[in-house]
Order: sequence, then structure tokens, then C-alpha cells
Amino acid sequence: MSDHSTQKLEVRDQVFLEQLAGKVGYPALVVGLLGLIVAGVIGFLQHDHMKQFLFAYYTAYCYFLTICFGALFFVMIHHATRAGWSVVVRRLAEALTANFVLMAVLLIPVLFGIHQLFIWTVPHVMAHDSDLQEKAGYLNVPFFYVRCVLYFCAFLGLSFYFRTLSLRQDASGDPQLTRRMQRTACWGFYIYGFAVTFAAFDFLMGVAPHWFSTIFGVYAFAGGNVSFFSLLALMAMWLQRNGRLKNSINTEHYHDIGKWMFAWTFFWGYIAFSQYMLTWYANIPVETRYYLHREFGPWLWVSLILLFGQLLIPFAGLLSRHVKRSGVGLAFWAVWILVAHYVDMYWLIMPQEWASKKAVRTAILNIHDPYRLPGTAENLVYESFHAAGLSMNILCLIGVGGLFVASTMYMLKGRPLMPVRDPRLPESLGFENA
Amino acid sequence: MAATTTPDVYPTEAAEDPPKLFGLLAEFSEPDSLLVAAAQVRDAGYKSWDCYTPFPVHGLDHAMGEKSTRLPWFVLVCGLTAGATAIFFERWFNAVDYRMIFSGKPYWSLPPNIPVAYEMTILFSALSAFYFMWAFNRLPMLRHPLLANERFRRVTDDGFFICIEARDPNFDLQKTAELLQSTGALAVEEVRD
Repeated sequence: MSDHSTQKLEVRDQVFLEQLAGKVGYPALVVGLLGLIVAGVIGFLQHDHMKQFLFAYYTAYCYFLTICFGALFFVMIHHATRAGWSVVVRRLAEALTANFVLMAVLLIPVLFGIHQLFIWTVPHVMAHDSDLQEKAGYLNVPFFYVRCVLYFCAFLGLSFYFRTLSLRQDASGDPQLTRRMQRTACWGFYIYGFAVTFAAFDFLMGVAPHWFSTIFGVYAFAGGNVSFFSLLALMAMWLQRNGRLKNSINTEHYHDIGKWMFAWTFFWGYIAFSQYMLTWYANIPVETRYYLHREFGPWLWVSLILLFGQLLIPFAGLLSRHVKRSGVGLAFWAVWILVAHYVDMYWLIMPQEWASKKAVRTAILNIHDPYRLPGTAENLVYESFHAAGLSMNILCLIGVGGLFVASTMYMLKGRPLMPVRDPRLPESLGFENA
Repeated sequence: MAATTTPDVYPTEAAEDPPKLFGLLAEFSEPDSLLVAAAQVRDAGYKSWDCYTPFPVHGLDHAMGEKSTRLPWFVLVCGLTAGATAIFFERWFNAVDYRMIFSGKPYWSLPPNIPVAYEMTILFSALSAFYFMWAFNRLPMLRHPLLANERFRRVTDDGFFICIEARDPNFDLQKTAELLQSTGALAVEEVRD
């Protein structure tokens, strides 16, 4: 297929990865597997039934899963709005959406560790918790498996559809394919919206089953988008440094990606604050407990790092047009946001590992001064930041990240790096910010 | 022109001062030739001149050597001032001047006061962007010498124009006209105010 479309290329650019795919993909695969194995060994040595390993792995998993949500959104909104500027980078996003296959495979260890990650799956916890019993109609294991299957049917179906049609257009150049994708994107957003919202409820809110926030799906979606656009900017820069798409992607496209990064950064903050303020103002114990867990000891610092690192500092940093148009400036904030998004995932998931300990739960229920914990629970806060735990977090991030990079290279390999015969490609190549 | 048929009681047009020279207007047939010409005018060192087109022409800012606008700084200052003012008054009203307890909440805490501060920041950023844009462009401009020009009417249809204004220190009627001619203008004419 690649040879076939090479002859028809009207674009004067290097649009194939060629040997670069293997040069990056195979080391990434090895590093990824090694990272996960080492983290698994450390986890095994903790004698906690792999609980900390699973939480570290799950944090890394959700990090990349939300980025895939962002990529799929970008591809679909591009078609639904007939966007012109983004055609040159759309294939990169399509390759990222193809990583839902990897995400489906990487979900298997999570399903094996379901009793460690989700306390609502543990029968004796459920038996003594009337709050959770109220939710048993939704929070039960068989239905959870059914939902996982439904989510991945939706994500795989949508990503496969848009990627396949786009690749088919590389060969045929048929403009009708663009119209078909546009129509599908519009009604596909219903599927996407429900799937992302409930996937966020199940995967991210499910680790804290007492808590509920209807805006949470939007929160996870916003976080995924801001980091997807950061990753997209970095991917494009890396390709151009290696002589790919050199004449196709230019400052104007980076400027628009930077605008998206800025907009999503603020949108994330808007949603995060809306969620926080309503919980703060309503002051219902079952809701505020979620934030209370995140204000104890070192968790308060993680919360503050999130507030400044994912919202206030990048907001100020990305405000200027000159930053978005300068390669170094945009790359700096892209890396910054990707780090901040990991802190976000860490902040969502990891406190539950600590809070699920029986001593902590008893201590918090009997607490009078929220900023002073009884001795046992306080010790346990610091325990959740010990060296083995943090090293597992880092190794799992490298591990899942390595597999993610390898999978992306595999999806990019042998196909043009941009939709070379898209009818709107000339518009995208000539695009300029007014 | 019609001085001979005008009764003597009325002042003749010839008796008035001749209209002041506003500048030289050059017409171009298409955006590309305008871009080339604009770059040459820019390189010749003119400052008081402008391009007029029926639609936005990409690359014109660069060809004209336009510096980036100061507007964002004014918007930033106005936005921050509005946000700070909102926080100040909320704090003063609720925690100092007229203390009341609502919903068992403290007199002062940030979360419930952020929305007002946020909206004030957005509102005054938007308003300042709008009004400073008018001010920087000297709007509203109710009359302009070019609007009386017959040839200039095509600027809303298919005409592309450069006008170098007489107030530019480099302006010299003959040399400037030669420059515009050499850039490939369809026509060059004087505009009088």
C-alpha cells in the first residue's frame, strides 16, 4: 500500500517514517517491558498482594488512556467542523487513537487486580458499607466487565473507522470519504461523549466509590485533551527534527496547537474549580471526604502542585502569542503539561491506595480537626510516599510509556505521516493565522 | 472651474486654498503584486503608509513590516486590575464592612469569591480589548480623504491599493511616485484632502 501511494504523492516532503520507526520502536518496546518487569518485581517484594504495584500501573495506564481520549476527540472534531488547518497533523492523532488496541490489552492486568484497585469489588467491604450498598446496582463486578467491553467497543470502533477511511483516501483520493467521515463524526460524538464520561466514572472515580461528581467525565476529558495536544506538538517537532514533514508543518500549525493547549488548560481549570467549589459549598460529608483525603500532609502539596502546575503557571506561560509561535517555548510548555497531567492522574488515583487502608478509614471517620490526623493515619500518609512506591510509579510510567511509543511507531510505520490526498490538504498547507 | 458662471457675490472656488496633498495612491491588480510592492515600500523606509484590500491578504503584515501590537499588554493590565478589584471589594464587603455569616461559611474564603473575580477579569479584558482596539485605530473615523477618491471605490470589489501619505518624512512627490510606478502599479495618482 505504501509503495502504491508513494507514486501518487503530490506533496514534496518526506512523509514516511521508514527505518526511524524501528529505530525508536524496538528500544521503546524493550525499555517498556523492562520497566514493567522491574516494577512488578519491586511490587512483589512489598508483600502487599501487588497492591502498590497495581496502583502505580493503573495510574500510568489511565495517563495514556486519557491521552487517547484526547486524540480521538481531535480526529472527530476535525471532521465534524470541517477543519482545514489541522489536516497535516491529523494522521499523527489517528495513530494515537489506534493505541486503543494497546490500551485494551493493558487493561487485562487491571481486571486481574480489580479487588486491589476497587474496594467496592471486595464483598466484606460492601457488606459493611451502606453507602456503597446503595450503589450496588451499578457498582457490581459483572456489570463492570460489561461496561469495559462496551467502552472499548466504542473507542476501538470509532478510532478504527476514522483511521481506516483516512488511509483508504490516501490510495483513492476520493473526496466522498471526507463527507462520510464528517457525517459519522457528528453522530459519533454521542457515542464518544457517553463512553468517555462513563469510562471516567468507572476507571477514575471508581477507585473512590463513595464520591460522586457528575462533572467528572468532563474533567477527565479536559485533562486528556490538554495533554494530547502537548503530545501532538512534541510528536510533530520530533518528526521535523528527523526530516519528516519538514515542508508541511509550520509555525502556523504549531500556533494553533498552542491555542488548543492554552484553551484546554483553562478549560481543565474551570471544570476542576467548578467541581471543587460546589463540593466545598454544599459541604456534604460523603463528597467532601474526597477532597479531605487530598488535603492531608503531603497530599496537600500534591494538590497545590496540581493547582499551580496544571492551571495557573501554564496559563500564564501560554498566554502570549509569541510563546505559542516559538518552537522552544511551545516544547517547554508541552513537556510541562505532560508532567502536570501525570500529577493529575496521581492525585486522582494514588490517595485511594492510602485511604483504603482500614486504619486510615477509621481514623478519618473519628476526626475532628481535619488538618491533624491521629498518629497511625499520619504515619500511613508518609508511607504512601516511600521510595519503593515512588520508584514503582516512575517505572510503570516508563513501562506503559515505552509500550505506548512502540505501539505509536507501529501504527505510523509504512503509511504516510499525513493524509496525502485529503481534499483539504492544500488549505492546511497554505494555512495562516490572520 | 465654473467660476465664470458664478455670480460675483459668491466666493469662487478658485479663491480657496488648493486642497492639501494627502498622499499618493497606487492601484494593483492582484494580491501577489500588492505583496511585492508592499515589501519594496517597506524597504524604502516609509512609515506613514498603508495597504487597502477587499479581503484579508495573508502575509501582508510581514510584507509591510508591521510590528506586533501593544494591545495585549493593555488587556492584561485591565484584566488583572479588574480581578484584583473584585477580590478587594468582595473581601471588604463580606469580611470587613458588613460581616454576615452565610451557610455557616467563614466570613472570608477564596472558593466562593473566585467566580465573581473571574467574571470581572473576563469582562474587563474583553471590554478593554474592544475599546483599546478602537482607540489604537483612531476609530470611529467619520471621514477619510481616500473615501472621496473615485478610483479607491474599487477597494471593496477587486482593487488593491497602497497609499503613501504626504506626512511621511521620506515623502517626495516625484521620487515616491517613481517608486510606486516601479513596483508595477496599474496607476498612481495624487490624493488631495
